[in-house]
Amino acid sequence: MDNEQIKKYLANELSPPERNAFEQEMENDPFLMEAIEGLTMSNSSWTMPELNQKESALYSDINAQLNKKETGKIVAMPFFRYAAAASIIGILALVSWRLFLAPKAIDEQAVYAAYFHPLTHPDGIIRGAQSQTDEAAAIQAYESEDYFAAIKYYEKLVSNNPVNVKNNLFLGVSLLATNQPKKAIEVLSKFTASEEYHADIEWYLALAYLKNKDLQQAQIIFTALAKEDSYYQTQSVEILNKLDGKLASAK
Amino acid sequence: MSRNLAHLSDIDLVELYKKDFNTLYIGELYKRYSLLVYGLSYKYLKDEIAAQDAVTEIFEAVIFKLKTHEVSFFKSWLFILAKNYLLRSIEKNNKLEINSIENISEKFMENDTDLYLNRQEEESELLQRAISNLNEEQRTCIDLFYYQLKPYQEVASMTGYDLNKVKSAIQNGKRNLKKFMEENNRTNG
Repeated sequence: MDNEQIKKYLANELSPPERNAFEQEMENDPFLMEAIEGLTMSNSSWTMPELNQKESALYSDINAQLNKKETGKIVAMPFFRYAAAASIIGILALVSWRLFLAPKAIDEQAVYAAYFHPLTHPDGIIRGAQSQTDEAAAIQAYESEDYFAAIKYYEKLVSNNPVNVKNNLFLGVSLLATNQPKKAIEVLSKFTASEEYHADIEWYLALAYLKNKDLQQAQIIFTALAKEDSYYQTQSVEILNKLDGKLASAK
Repeated sequence: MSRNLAHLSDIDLVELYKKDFNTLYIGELYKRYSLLVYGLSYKYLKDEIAAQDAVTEIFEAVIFKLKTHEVSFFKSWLFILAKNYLLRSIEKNNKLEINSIENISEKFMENDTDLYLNRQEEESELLQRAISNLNEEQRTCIDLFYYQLKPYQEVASMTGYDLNKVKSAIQNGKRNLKKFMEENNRTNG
C-alpha cells in the first residue's frame, strides 16, 4: 500500500470498490489500520493539499536529521565554521592525549568477566523436583548452572516456538555462559525490538559483542543502555568508562 | 547526489544500509513509511507536534537498531519498534491511557480469517455454516463488506449502524468465524 493510495483514501478520492479494497487491506494490516485511525483522529476531513503539506513537513524534518547524520558537514553559517575548526582542534588534542598520555586501557575480556552474571530465571522451580516438561527441564538445568543441558532444552523449545522471547533470552544467556558469544549474538539480536525483556536482551547482547571483541557494536548498545532508565544503566556507564581508551582506539 | 531507490524492496534497502550505514537508504524507507508512523504516533500521543517529533525519533532508532538487528520483514519490525517506542513514551509521561500491545499478535492472528474468507470455493459449505452462526449484526456487516464489497461508510449507511459499530462487527465477526472454522477443522481432522 503506497502513500498515494493512503492519501487518496483519506481525501475520499477513491471509488466505492477501491475504498472497499483498501479497507480489506486494512483488515489484514494492523499497522495500516492503526495509522489510518490516527490520521483520521488528527483530521477527519483531510484534503489532498493538506496531506501533501503534511508529507512535506515530515520529509523536511527527517532530511535535516539524515543530512546531519550522513555527512556531519557544517555549511550554514560562518559561526559554525569556527566552531567546527575549534572542535577539530579539540578532537586532535583528545586523540593525542589518548594515544600518548592516557593510562593503558583495561582489557575488555576482564571487563566482560567482571560484569557477566547469568540472569536469574523469573520462573525458578524447586531444585530436585521432577521435570515434567521441556520448559521445566530447561529452567532446572539453567538454575543448576548446567548450561550445556539448558541449551539443549532451550534449542528444542525455541524450534517449537521461535518467537518466544523469554526462551530465546535464556538460550542466549546460556550460550554466553558456555563461551559461545557468536551464537548468543545470533539468537539475541533477533529480539532487540521486543518490549518484553528489552533491557535484558540489550544487556546480554552488548556483553556478547564485548566477549566477541566487537567493541564498536558493544559500545553502541552500552551507550543506549546508559541512557535508559533500567537496572543496567549504572553498569553500562561503568563499562563505557572502563573501556574508554580501548573504544577510542577501536574507532 | 540523489538516487532513485524506488524500485528497491524494503529488504534490499535494509541490506544496502547494513553494508555501509549510508542513511540514503533509510531516507527511502522513511519516504515509504513516515505517513504511517505519523498516523500511528498521533493515535497514541494525540498531539500533532509530539507525533511529528516521534516520527523523527523512531527513525533515529531505526538508523541505530538496524546496525545490529536482523530484520526479515521491515514493515512488521517497524510497526513493533514504533509501537514499543510510543507505549514507552506514554508510560514515561504517564498522562495518557496505555493501549495494550498484546493486541498486536491477536490482530495478526485474526487476520488469518481473511484467508478463510478468500477460500470460499474450497470451504464454501463450512464457511456458510460459520457465517449463519454469527449474530445478525456481524453477519450483515461481513456480508456487505466481504461479499458485496461495500466500503465501511456505505455499510454504515445501509445498516444504520455507526462507523465504529461496523468496524467492530467486522472484527468480531472475523474472530468468531475463525473460531468456528478452527473448531470444525479440529473435530473433522
